[in-house]
Amino acid sequence: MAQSQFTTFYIDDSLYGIDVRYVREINRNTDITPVELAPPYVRGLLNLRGQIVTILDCAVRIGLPVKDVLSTSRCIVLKTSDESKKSGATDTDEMSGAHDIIGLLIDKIGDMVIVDEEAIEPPPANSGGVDGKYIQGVVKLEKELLVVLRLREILSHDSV
Amino acid sequence: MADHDQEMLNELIIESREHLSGIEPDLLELEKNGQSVSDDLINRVFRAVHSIKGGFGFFGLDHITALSHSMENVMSRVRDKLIRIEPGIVDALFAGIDKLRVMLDDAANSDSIEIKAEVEALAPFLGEKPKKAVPVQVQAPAKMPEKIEAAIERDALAAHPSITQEKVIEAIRNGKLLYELALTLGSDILDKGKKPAAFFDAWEKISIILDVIPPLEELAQALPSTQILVVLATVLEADLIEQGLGLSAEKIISIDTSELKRQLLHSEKTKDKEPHVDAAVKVAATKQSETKIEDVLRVRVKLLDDLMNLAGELVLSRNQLIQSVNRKLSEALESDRMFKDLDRTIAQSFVAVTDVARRDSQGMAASIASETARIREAYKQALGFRLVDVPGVSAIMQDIDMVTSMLQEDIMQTRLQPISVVFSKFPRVIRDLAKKLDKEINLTIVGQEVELDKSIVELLSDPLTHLIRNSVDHGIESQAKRKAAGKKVVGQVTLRAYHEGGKVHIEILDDGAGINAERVREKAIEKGLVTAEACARMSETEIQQFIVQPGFSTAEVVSDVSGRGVGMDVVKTNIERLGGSLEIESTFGKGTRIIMKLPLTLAIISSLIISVKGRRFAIPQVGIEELVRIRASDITARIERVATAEVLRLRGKLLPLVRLEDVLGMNPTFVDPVTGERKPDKRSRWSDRRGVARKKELDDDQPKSTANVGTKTDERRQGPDRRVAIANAVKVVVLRIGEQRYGLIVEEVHDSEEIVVKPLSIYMKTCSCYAGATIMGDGMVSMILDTNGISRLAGLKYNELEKEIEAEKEKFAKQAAKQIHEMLLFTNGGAEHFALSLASIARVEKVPLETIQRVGSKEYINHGDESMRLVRLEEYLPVSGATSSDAEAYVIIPKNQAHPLGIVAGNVDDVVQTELVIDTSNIKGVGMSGSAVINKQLTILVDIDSLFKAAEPEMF
Repeated sequence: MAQSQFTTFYIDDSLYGIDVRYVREINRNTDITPVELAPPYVRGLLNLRGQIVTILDCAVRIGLPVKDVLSTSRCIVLKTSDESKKSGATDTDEMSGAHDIIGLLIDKIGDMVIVDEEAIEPPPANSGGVDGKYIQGVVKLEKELLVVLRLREILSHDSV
Repeated sequence: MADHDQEMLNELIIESREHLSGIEPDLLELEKNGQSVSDDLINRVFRAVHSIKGGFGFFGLDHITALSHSMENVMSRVRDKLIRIEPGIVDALFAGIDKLRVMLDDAANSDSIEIKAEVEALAPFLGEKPKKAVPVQVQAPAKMPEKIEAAIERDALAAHPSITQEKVIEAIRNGKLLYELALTLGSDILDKGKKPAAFFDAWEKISIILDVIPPLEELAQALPSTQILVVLATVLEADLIEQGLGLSAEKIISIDTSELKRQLLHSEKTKDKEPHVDAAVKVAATKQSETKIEDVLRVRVKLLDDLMNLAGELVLSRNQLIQSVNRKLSEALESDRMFKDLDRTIAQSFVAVTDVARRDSQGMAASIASETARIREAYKQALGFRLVDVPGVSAIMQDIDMVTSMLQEDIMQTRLQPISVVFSKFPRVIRDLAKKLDKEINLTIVGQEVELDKSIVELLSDPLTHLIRNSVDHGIESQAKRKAAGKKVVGQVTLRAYHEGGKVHIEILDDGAGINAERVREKAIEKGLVTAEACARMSETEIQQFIVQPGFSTAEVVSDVSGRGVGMDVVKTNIERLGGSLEIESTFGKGTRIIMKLPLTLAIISSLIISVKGRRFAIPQVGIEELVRIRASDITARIERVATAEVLRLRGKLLPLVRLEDVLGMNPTFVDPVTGERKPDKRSRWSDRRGVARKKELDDDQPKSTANVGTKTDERRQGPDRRVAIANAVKVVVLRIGEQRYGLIVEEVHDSEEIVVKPLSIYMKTCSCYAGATIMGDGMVSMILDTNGISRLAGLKYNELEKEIEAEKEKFAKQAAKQIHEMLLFTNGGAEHFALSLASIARVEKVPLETIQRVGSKEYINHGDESMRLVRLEEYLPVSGATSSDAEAYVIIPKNQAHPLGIVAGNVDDVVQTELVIDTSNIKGVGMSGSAVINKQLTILVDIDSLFKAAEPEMF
């Protein structure tokens, strides 16, 4: 049975997940340089060992209010679209927005979760104030609900 | 298409493009010098086209093959002197090259591109069927003397008795290479789904099959294990054959023909030279020298980019390492100092304790002594490791530092490309344009070897083409006009690249009509780009710069104003985007010179680090004109409001000001100079600022004009001024965008640094205020500001502002008579009172009379190492002189004079601030600019200039 692995994390008290194949690393460094006049969901820029990573505020992106960086906050650094192609991710379209290295700022990192693909249910129109278009599906875990995010939408940018 | 096929095709396309670029100059040469060009050159063109034909024939791309075939045939007739070179031939060949380029862009689908027109254009020059040319070639080998025979590689061709001498020689003459292939019928042909006949047919297209063993007809029934030996002559290199046939390298044997070539060359030199024979030999010779150039390697740009990134990363890590090592070293020094203190303390207490103990008992003193020694030893050991610098660590650091810098430089070099990549296309551009416009133009190119970053070279092509077109189209006049103007009929365009001041300069020079500044001025005023008044004060060069203004460049203007202007604003913007600048110099009727100044590389730029609200930003040094610091007490006087904008009075000109935190929308806060806290700032204007702390400002952007003028001015300085606070000094970075300037107000100005520019991701494409981002020495990311974008964002409308400023200036002119002046008051022994503006005085010195020396009628004092001439007012002005009772006199030394003379004053009375109302009607004459009532006294205002002129007419 096909299984999916998710990197999970918390924003406020809700659990979200993204496919582990798109994740490059989790970074503790939250010395993010803000970029004035950038769209609100752009938290700023981070130095990842000499490479500049654009950090998107995951909360703001999915429609939640902006808040300060917490001591538990982490940056989930994603692979670029080229890299995820190489690592054999099937749905490369999902990462089509990631030309450069992008990171997501989240409140707290959760466990790695493996679920059967059948267990992923279609998303509700709206979940906890989060616009349905950002949600790929939901998984009922033992204690809580895992909201699987749609990276294609998270990484979308306003066309110039 | 299989992967390796695709790869091979790509390789072929790249090579073919290089071939095409390579022969363009040759064709131009051919056109220019006609019949007299070297056969070498003709052969080069021939070979290039031939290789393209061969290569693409192999892929079955018929259109490319057909067109290049026609071109090849024309060239072969040129080579054999069967046709004369005429412009039409070159035109047709150029058309062919252009079409080939188009087809190369999408080679896989090139067969859908129409080539009829080009082939037909070439057809007239083919005249008789090319076959008729063949006998000429065949004749040559027939005449060959027998001695060549010995040279043929009999061993290699021993198995192929059917291959004749003539065939081999002819192949070599055509610059072909000979190969023997050892194939296995099964694995090399049948298993690949091909029939032997079709297999060899495909090869016939691109090579001459000299022999096949066993004969082709037998192969149809042969067993798959049958070994086939093929000898073929082709222009393809061994590796292409290898890839194309999917053969392993060992199955392809190159037959060495160099000895044969040498002999051929020798034998032909000794006999009567037939032009085409000579040519063929030269082909062989070139071929050999070409293969030797193997020290150049083709590297993927991606790889270079990665290396660049890594080098950048290394530089940053190095910076961090140096920082932290230095911190550790200074910590070690600090603990060393602490240890020494500690040691001293212990020693002192030992003395004290033993002293006490001695009175008690000897044993106790000894035990305290040994105890203390032990403690000291323990301390030493505990701290010792910090005292000793890790051996050689600074030397190692220095090495790492140097190697890293060198590595970065070298990697940077790999991205450099000679500018000839762009320049080489211009001979053709000029030729085509000149032809079209019926002008004769000579193009001179200088500095092809100058190197620039690849990305800059790529982006230069369009702006340069534009400028060159302008030069030819609008700059160079028609032949008739040139004759009438007494110029040479042939116009001269020069393209020159050279290094200067760490930048690459590219000049486009023409001896054409130049820019009519008068017409530009009219147009600029008509279009409302500038007021007539402002224009009147501008130099011709300044006026000419208007042609790069966006509003100026319209077609209508161009036809009117002897050219230039179309899209010049676009050119300028593009050059500026590359971190460069554009200057125009033109003499009407004589010609125009356009100079581009470009950075060597885009990746690393020198920039100034500034900060606002504790955040650092980098400003590229290219755009920075100067830094101005306005002390808090001067803010009200120097920063003013014009309409809605704040402006700075800088050397008599008004400079629009922009506050970085406003443009970027950062919340206004300020640091309280007393508590050091950051507080929200309710005030909106700098001119409203009031200092909280009272501190004397030491640093100033103005020279200290009053420092030595007696004690009275100093008192004035120390007088109560509630607005002086060092923390509130305003720091202005004066930035330049083309002809315009503006001031960016920042909080702190830090060092200048070389920074690695990293592009911004797509999410920030809308932020025009940033040119990129960079990583600082401490690892934090900082934004690089785009001075152009900030000006746009701040909505600086220079022209509107300029009008306002004009109006303001007039107001000031009216007020000038009533302005506050600081005046030095003095007397000269008589009853008259004199005054000099403090601003015009460098120093006032008190000198004993005996130090004044007389030479003839003139007086001098020693001033530093030189003697300075003294001037007494009574000698030039109708005033009374000094009474000689005083033992001392004052000497006033003016500033801003090339040859300062000292003015003798009997007594210096005062320095006053006064609203000067100058009266020029009553008192005037040499050395006086008028009079004024100061301190209720009629005072003569001394005019230094005319006084000095009267005293030393030959100097002033």
